[in-house]
Amino acid sequence: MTSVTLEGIGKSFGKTEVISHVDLAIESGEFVVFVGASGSGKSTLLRMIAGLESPSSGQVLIGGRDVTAAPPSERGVSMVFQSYALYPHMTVRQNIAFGLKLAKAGKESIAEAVGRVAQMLQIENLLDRKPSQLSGGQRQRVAIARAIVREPEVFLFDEPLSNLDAALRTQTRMEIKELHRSLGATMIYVTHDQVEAMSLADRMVILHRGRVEQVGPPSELYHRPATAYVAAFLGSPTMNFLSPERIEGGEALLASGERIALPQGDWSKAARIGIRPEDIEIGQEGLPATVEMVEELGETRIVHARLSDGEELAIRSRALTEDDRNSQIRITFLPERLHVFDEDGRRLEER
Amino acid sequence: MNSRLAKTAGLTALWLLVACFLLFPFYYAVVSSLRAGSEIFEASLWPADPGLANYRQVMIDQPFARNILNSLMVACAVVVLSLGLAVFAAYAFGRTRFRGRRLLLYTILGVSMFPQVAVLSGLFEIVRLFGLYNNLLSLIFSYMIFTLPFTVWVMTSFMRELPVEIEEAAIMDGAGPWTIVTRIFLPLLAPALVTTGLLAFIAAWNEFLFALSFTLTNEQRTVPVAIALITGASQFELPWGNIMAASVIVTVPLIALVLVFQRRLVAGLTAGAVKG
Repeated sequence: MTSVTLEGIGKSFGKTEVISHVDLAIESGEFVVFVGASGSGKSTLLRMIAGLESPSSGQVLIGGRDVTAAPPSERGVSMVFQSYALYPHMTVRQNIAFGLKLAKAGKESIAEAVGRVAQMLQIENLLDRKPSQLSGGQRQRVAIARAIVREPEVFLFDEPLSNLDAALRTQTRMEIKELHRSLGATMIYVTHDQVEAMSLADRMVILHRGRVEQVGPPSELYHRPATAYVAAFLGSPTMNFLSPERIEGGEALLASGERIALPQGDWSKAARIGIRPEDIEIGQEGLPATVEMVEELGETRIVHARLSDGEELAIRSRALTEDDRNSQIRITFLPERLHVFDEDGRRLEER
Repeated sequence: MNSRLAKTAGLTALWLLVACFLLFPFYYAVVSSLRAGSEIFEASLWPADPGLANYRQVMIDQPFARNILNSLMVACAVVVLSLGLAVFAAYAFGRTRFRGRRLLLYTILGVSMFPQVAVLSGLFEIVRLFGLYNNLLSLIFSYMIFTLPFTVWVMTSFMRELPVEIEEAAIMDGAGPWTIVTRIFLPLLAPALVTTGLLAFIAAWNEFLFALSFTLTNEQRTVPVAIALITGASQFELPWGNIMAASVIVTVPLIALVLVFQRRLVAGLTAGAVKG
């Protein structure tokens, strides 16, 4: 069991700064997921932990040992790649055994180790096939088996599920979570899929333009986003944002003259107010709005409504149907579910 | 239905025509080699009295078996050396970044642009300097001048197409550059190796000018030179029968090679053509 610590990590390719000063402490046995849009630097960060990329500044510590200059094979880490990256000319058995062979393990211990991981991932019947004879899901299992077999202390996953179809992705996701439970190893996982991230992570790291926006358990990030970026990044449909004209006596005044009650706190710096689609209630009183469209999602419906000042809102509700288009409704926001951000997008805390 | 039949027939006729056009010269060489004596000057399509006398004669008159062996040794050595060097050069060119990489790559290509005659005298001096005159090593050395540029270029473009993640997976598994090249890349490059190897073999097998200039005695000659220098009983007689027999002997191995590697050859040629 091993911790991973990043201290002031920075990375530039030529003049472009991809990662700027990232500090992060990942505890032993933790499942941490890096999420971010493409170009946020999440893969680069993972590759620096793997040793495939060397940081321009800062240090990488694995198990308390400074491995910044150590080659990948001496870091006790293994990695699962997005494209699986199996060796096409080797059988599944040879693929899994390759690392052990290079480490000069004995024939019997290799056979034993390969048999054990093959059983664990239920690929025993595939051992003598070539990767080209496997389906996407099977290849993914082989790639994971190859990563497990050397019993690394840290597992790195670089978008391992993005090449699988939706049903298989959900299933494999649960298997990876189960694997984490049974191995108890530290796992670092990169994805751009927020659902995948939230379902897997003990803690999520949200990256934006090479900086860490927020680190925390999924529920905390969802319910108490530290920045407007995090608030907008998580959740589908995305959080609604309103820009009040000014704040007056614990209420936000909209351009239309409508008022929104805020929770207790000092809101003098408030610039934007966010509310999630599921935290808006449709009722007899509140702000007037016009229904523009209703999306049927099965378990719920998404109502797209427009406020009198032209702002658009998404509301999660079963109360309305497609027939309610163009009808007038009234909506209220739950004050304790409001998220208030300042000019720079930082969260303002209630008291 | 009828038009389809006509179409098939037309296509078949066309293919037959092309095949005849391509294969007739070789066919005529085979037929000529089987003729005896003055029958060689008759223009019939089939020899009146086919026999192997010319083949026997070619082996007796000069050390032709030795010439074939020379050609084989030179061509094989050239193939092995240039492929070996090309694979490692391609790893450097295709997979690592270093200053002057493009310049070096184009310099290598530039070498192949000089006509053989232009480098002949300079090369001759070098061969003399190393004391390799009338030695097969001089041929192996000089043939690499034209095989290396294209083997390096073809291997580099193949190397670039191999997914980077496979190499990175090998690095994570603890493989160094030597292991990556020999255990991961070499097997993946097999089709390219066969294609370029075969082309290098043919080029070395057929080369004439260097072989003529750098060898002196019959025992050190390769087949193209040996065939050209076959002489008859008097200086006014060209022994066409012997020459044809010798030509057939040296062409057959090439045809056999191409037929054996046919499928891989096509795969390799097209795979390299897409990019690079």
